Amino acid sequence: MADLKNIALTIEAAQTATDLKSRLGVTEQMDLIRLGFAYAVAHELDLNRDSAFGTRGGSNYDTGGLDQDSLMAETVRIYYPQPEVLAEPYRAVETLMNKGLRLLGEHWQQGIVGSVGDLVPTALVAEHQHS
Amino acid sequence: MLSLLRLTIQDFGPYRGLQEMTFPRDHGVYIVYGPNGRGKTTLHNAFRYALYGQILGRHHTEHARELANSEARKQAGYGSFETTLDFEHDGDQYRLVRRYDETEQPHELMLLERNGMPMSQDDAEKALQAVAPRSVSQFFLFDGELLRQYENLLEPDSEEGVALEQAIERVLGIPIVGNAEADVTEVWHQAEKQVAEQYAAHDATRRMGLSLNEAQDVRQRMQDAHDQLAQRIDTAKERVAELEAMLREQHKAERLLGSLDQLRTQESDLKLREQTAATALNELMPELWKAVLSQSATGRLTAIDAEVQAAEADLRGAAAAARDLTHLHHQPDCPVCHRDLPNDLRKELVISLETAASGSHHEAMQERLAHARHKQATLQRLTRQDARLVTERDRALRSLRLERQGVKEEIASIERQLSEIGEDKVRSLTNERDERQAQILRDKERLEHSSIELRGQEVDIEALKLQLSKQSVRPDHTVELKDQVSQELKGLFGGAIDAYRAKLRRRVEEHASAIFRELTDEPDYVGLRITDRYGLEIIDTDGETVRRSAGYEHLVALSLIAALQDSAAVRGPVVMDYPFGRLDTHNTARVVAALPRMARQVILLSFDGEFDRQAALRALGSNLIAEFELERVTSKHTRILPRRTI
Repeated sequence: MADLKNIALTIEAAQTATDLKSRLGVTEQMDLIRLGFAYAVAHELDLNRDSAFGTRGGSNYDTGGLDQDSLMAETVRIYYPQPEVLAEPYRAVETLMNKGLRLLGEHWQQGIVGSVGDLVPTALVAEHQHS
Repeated sequence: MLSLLRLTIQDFGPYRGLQEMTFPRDHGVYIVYGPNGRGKTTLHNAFRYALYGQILGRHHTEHARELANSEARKQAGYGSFETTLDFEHDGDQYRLVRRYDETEQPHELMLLERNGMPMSQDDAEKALQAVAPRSVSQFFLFDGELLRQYENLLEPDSEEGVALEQAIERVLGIPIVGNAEADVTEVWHQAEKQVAEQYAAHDATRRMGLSLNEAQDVRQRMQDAHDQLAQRIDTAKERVAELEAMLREQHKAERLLGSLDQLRTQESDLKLREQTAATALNELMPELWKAVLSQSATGRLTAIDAEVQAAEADLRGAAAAARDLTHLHHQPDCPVCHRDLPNDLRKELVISLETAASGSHHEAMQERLAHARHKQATLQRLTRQDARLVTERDRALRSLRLERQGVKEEIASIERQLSEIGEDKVRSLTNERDERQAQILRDKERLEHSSIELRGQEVDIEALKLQLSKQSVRPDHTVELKDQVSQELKGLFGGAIDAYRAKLRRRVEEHASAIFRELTDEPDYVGLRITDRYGLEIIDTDGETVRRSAGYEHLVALSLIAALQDSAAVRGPVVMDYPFGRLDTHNTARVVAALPRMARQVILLSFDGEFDRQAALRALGSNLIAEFELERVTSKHTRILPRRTI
């Protein structure tokens, strides 16, 4: 099966993205979608399209525009090295960006995340960047 | 002496949930730090409510419902709060609980326990009146905003000054002597009455005895009317003092407007800075997703680095195998040690090297290395994103937002205060004050007239008594003696009030001067002189009165408070809100250093930066018992946290 050329937000994830725009101050939709993807990867979410994925029906995005340098596709291949992901990375990206956005929304509600600073763990990174 | 042990508050103003402050020592200084809008004045009110069941705004008494935490009210569907004050007085332990509750209809409860035993409502009221009378609360819970009232003590016509003077006399205990005089007068009048009745019982002195009795009745009626008039004048004076205080708020409104302009400029500046900070953070947004993954990418990169090294080593091994195989095909010796090789061993070596030296193996190794290097490059792109920059810019933005929120809350508070002051209100207040003052003048004239009549009646009574004493009939000796002794005691107490007042005035003057010299660094100001109304004037080395500045007015007021604490009949802790309002940095530092002399327990409500904390720590030394801070959770939720306990 050919990999996706367009990937879509689910209705629930699209709503969460609208809420998060003002809450986190991330104004560009594409930036927010990438953020959802990274949040899912950082939390090691699985690729099952279960209830956490949501209902199809949101906006479509061209994978070329979303991931111009293919870094997202390369990233998902490293973190999820299953054959089907290696073959069709954007299907996995689509799953993760939807599940990640919804998880981020939940964490906002629970007060786990208050601003973008809370999304970025710094200690280990700083150590590596110094070495 | 009242010493605080612990204050517990629940859902009081922004203090959501159950929160407490403990006071482990009965002497020393406790400092609470909180920025504007975080609830310092509300905490001051929590002490006031806990002790007196009263809440004071900057302008007027507030209703309890205004202090119920709004988040808790939303959650429960009704407002409620509770304060519990544990304190010690003369060796007894008290627990005073006050609760406001709107469950069914708004009501307030008060419970007082002494040494663990609940007290009846009457006993509790009496005990509180003795331990912490509400009428002198301003000397224990004082608001720097209100220190200006002490200037009224130097204004001869100020009704507010009269009210304050009466409060000062109450805290010094002068009314105790006055009450004793009133009690003795009562006894004297009873004895006089008995004397008159005994004269009236004898035929020879009946007519004169009855006249004396009637004259005493007339005097009593005159005295009652005189007392009522005096009471009416006092009530009117209190009202005028209230009206003057409210009118002074109009002047304060002008000051508030000045502050409002300043705050709005500050808010506008903060808004611009916030926008700049938001733009700076927004610049990082396209790369934010990489920063989110940078930590986990760093972990994986370590493993991939090792994988690249291993692949490189394997590739080098494949190249070496190819080189050795070629050597074996063309040379007779060993490719490693260059000794001659037996044929069977050569064949064995060739077989073992053929797989490793094959082109397909080399290609596989190259592919593996390329794959590892590709992953390495991908992860390096993720880890290159500077996550610290995101954190720093986000922190800067949040801090600006918090600061702006605080300023906005302050603006809202000032706007609320200003909306309470209207022009019609000013006119109505002025009219009422003028009417009351005219009434006081009329009543004072009547009171003077009544006093003259009363003295005339006394003279008539004394004349009748003198005539009767010349008669042969003698009243009972005990009654006569009681009459004489109580009359002399009345005179004694009357004189004692003035002597006691003069002595306390000297004491207050001496103590206030000593404190004032500590607070000021002007060597020419040698002390303070007390006026008849407890006003304090600064005296210079030439013995002349100094015209004082607003800052010095403040120092004098603080000196008076400290001196009153020293001489008061009722003593307790001092809780100070906004005590440095008009003082410069230097004088503020001096006041902080002198805090342990203001009262045995001093609780200071302040904010970071209001004074040099390190200098204060050095100056206070072991007198500083604990520091607390007010931490914002939300705009409607503040937490009291210990900052440091010594």
